[in-house]
Amino acid sequence: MTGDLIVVGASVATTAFIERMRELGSGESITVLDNDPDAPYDRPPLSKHYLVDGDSEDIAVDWNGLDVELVRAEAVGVNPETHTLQVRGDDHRDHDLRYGRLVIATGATPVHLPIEPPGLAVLRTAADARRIRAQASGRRSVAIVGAGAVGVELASHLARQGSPVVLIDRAVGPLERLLAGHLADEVTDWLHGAGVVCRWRADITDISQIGDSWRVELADGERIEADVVVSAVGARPAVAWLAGSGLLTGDALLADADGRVVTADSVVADVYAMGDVVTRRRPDGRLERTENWAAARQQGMRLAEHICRAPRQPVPSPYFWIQVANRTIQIVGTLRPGARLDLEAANPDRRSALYRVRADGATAWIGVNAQPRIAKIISGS
Amino acid sequence: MTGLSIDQSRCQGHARCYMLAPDTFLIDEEGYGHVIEGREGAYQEEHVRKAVRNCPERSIKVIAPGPAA
Ligand SMILES: Cc1cc2nc3c(=O)[nH]c(=O)nc-3n(C[C@H](O)[C@H](O)[C@H](O)COP(=O)(O)OP(=O)(O)OC[C@H]3O[C@@H](n4cnc5c(N)ncnc54)[C@H](O)[C@@H]3O)c2cc1C
Ligand code: SF4
Repeated sequence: MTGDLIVVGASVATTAFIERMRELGSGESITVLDNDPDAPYDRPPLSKHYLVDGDSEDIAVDWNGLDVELVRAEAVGVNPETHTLQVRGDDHRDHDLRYGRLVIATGATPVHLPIEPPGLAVLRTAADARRIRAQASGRRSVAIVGAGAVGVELASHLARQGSPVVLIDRAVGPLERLLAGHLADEVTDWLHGAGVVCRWRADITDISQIGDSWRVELADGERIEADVVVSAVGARPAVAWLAGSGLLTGDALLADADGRVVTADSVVADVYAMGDVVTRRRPDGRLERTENWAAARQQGMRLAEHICRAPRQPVPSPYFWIQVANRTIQIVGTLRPGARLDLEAANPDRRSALYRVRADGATAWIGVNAQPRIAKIISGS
Repeated sequence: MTGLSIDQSRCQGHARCYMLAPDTFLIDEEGYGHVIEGREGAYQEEHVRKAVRNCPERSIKVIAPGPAA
């Protein structure tokens, strides 16, 4: 195992990276490390159909034919000076691996509220999804903290399975970050229609376990009892293992548009990063990161183009989607708070709608069950 | 049944399958993907494999043919 090119994380970005490397004719040997026994797989199904049923095959991504060596191991440190990676195997023993080039694609890990007791469920991995599926089976009641994409999808899928679900967020509505405050009333109505009880502007003062069940207390005195509590308050880049490596700037792993890791004063030789783990500096100096499937793929392809010195493909508009109460919401472009929302088309029979969102001269789109129109917008026809 | 099929309950209509392998997948008027009749056996073709890997919902199923009888 002395692979010249080592990728840490059998991730969404990694699939696209290897695919593009091979398409561009690279025959370089590629070793991928991942300590998740289910990897490689796709995460979008975890809060959708995989929550309800299915086994590993229903989420697995087939790497056959891509000529990669996949090793079950955890990366625990890097020394960029000596080009070595510290790796912990199944036997819990550490050893060093020399790399020619290193690609970091470790994704993100769930964050927790300071008030959270240990033992709350989270949803990031296939094993997490199976755990929630088992805990909520038999229509057990569920309280979900956080109404971002994961919380909202979890709520609507578990409610459809017959579980009583309470969705709690301190924001004034659901999907606040993702939809930049737009369509909050509509999404709330759809959640209600699916049987989800919503608590917005909720300030959680305590979460405690009482016997076999849980109690979530809100500042207004309400007490929500549930068999299962899921924490879905967001994720942060999985960079803890890079502490002390010299690769982090503050607590962020910065990379340029091609995926080269950069520090405050230089480009780090032979170290690259892609996907949710990456933070980028915009031209105006602000830091930004992406947490979505399409961006992870784009960054994987771009890095392969950089390494193979191939022409770069243009960066497509940002794309994200969510499934809420039998509706598919698709977002193309960047939404800003306070932007103007115009209804472009609607078909009440299909419960579909297409909105054009305009701010500062830029246009973005929100589709609700409007897949054919969104497909045209994405493909630019 | 062997070959390619799309699980309609999972398909979200991202049209990625169609964009990567228009000779094998089509999109219906509601935006959902389908396998073109006669192309169910095309999984071995590289661009079709790529299309399958590119479905973010894992809705495209591949059932490998069993050992020949
Ligand atoms: C439940 C859920 C639903 C989602 N739904 C959608 C959706 O509908 N649409 C959308 O656009 N996006 C969705 N996302 C986001 C999307 O899945 C992520 O943006 C995407 O997976 C990011 O890919 P990535 O390549 O950065 O890494 P990931 O896919 O996160 O993979 C990182 C890999 O690195 C491995 N790893 C981490 N640390 C180490 C280490 N030290 N050593 C070895 N291996 C390590 C992990 O085991 C993991 O396999 C969803 C995410 C979740 C959790
Ligand atoms: S890529 Fe997948 S989800 Fe998208 S249309 Fe094709 S089968 Fe459906």
